[in-house]
Amino acid sequence: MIAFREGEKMLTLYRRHGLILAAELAPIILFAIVLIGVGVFAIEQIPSEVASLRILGLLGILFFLHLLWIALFVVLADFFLDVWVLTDQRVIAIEQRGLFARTVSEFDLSRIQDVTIEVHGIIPTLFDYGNLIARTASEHEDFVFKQVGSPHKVKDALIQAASAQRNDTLATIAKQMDITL
Amino acid sequence: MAQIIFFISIVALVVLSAGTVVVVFHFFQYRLKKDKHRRMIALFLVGSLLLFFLELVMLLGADWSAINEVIGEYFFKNSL
Repeated sequence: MIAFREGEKMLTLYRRHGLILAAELAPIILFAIVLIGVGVFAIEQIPSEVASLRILGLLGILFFLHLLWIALFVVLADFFLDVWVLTDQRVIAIEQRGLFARTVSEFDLSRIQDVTIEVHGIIPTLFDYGNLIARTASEHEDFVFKQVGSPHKVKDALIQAASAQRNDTLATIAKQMDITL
Repeated sequence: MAQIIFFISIVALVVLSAGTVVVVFHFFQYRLKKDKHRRMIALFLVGSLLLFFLELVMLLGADWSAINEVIGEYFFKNSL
């Protein structure tokens, strides 16, 4: 789990577009349907002299369904654990790649230099999703949030949060200067 | 031959159970405080346990001697 700083507030949580999840789940569900259909048909075709083998066929189908059930939830885990967390101080980017590969990176909102949106193709345009690239003042690579839904809204929220944080910082500095003066 | 199939089935059951544990552990380990994914984890566990139960019932309820007989009679003898 992510540990937030003291006084840090989580503003929003962003995930990839739902269509991406649907596209990843569809082949698994389709395969399961075909497996059940073909499997049941094949079992029915087993001659009555070797009827005791039918249970092996059923067992095989169940094993494959169990495997697909696990695969389905691996995809769901990948989708739901792959998030960008926007707080009032920073952005935490968590990228889940399968079950055993995970990258967690973060950048302070004050370090954002510019935010770019990339929407390529008919489907991303129609369903309103694309890549969001945040360039920061650090030497590290850009932060890319792939296939995020409503990237324009995300960009606006990011810029708004960054300017709010800058204003807060300026207000704090001004207050400190007043005190010292 | 039936013994080999039985052994392979047991191994498959163990592997699938381990897979279930790994997925659940993963959700518990990496979920965020805000999203607990309780329903999703519960659904996954119920489905997985149901499948596991069905597999176990079939595995233990199968007439392995009849299967062995059929395999020996129709596959090995016919192939010779």
